[in-house]
Amino acid sequence: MTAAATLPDPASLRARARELSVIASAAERAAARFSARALAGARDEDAATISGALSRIARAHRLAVQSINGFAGHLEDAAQRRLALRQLVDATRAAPRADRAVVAHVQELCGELVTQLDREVDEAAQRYAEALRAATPRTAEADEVAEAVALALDHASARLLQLAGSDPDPAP
Amino acid sequence: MIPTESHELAELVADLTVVIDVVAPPHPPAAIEAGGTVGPALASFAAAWCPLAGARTAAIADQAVRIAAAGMALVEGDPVTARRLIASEPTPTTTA
Repeated sequence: MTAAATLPDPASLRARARELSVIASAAERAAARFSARALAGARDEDAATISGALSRIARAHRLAVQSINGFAGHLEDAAQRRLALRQLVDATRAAPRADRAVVAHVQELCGELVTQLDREVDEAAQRYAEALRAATPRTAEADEVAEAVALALDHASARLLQLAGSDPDPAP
Repeated sequence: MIPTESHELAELVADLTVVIDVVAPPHPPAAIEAGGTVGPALASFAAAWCPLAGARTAAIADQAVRIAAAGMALVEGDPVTARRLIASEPTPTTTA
C-alpha cells in the first residue's frame, strides 16, 4: 500500500506533466508538417511513416499528461479533505466545555475518514499508473518510432543542407 | 535573402529536437521522487520510448544538436556554418 508519506508532491507531478505536454505539442506540430508534406523532398511513404510515428508519440504523451494531472488533482483534493478533517478535530478539541467523549468520538470518526482517504488515494494511484502503463509502448513499437524520428532528422538534415547550398536567388 | 522554407525548417528542427529527447534522451529518465506507484510507472513510460542502444542514441542526439544549430545558422544567414555543421560526421563516441 502507498503510505501518504511516499506520495509525490502534486506540484512536481504537474511540472512533469507540463514537460510531457511540451513534447506532445512539438510532436503534433512536426507530425502536421510531415503530414502536409511541408518538408519538400520527403518521399510520400517516408512522410507517412514519420508523421504516424510522431503522432503516436504525441497521443501517448497526451494520455500521460491526462493521467498525471488527474492524479495530481486527486492528491490535491485529498490533501484539502485531510486538512478539513484535522481542523474539525482541532476545533472540537478546543471547544469550551468540550465533552471528552464527544472529542474522542470525533477523533475516531476523522481517523476512519483519513484511512478511507488514504485507501482512495492508493486506488487512484493504481488506476493512474495503469493508465500510464497503457500509454507505454512495447519495445518493437518504440523501436519503429525511434527509427522514424531518426529518419525525420535525416530528411530535415538533407533539406537544410540543400537550402544552405542553394542559390540565394532561386529560379522561379 | 533567406527563403521562408528555412524558417519553417528551423521550426521543424526545433520541434524534432524536442522529440529527439524522447527517443534519445541526454539523461536516463528518472522516477518522480517518492512517487509511490505512479512515479515508477512514469519512469517506465519515459524509458520505454528510448529503446535504442547507447552509441545509436548518442549519434541521434548528436545529429539533433548539430542540425538544430545548423537550422539556426541558416536562419541567421550563415549558410557556410550551416553546411559545415550538417556535413560533419555524427560522433557516437566522444574522443575528448
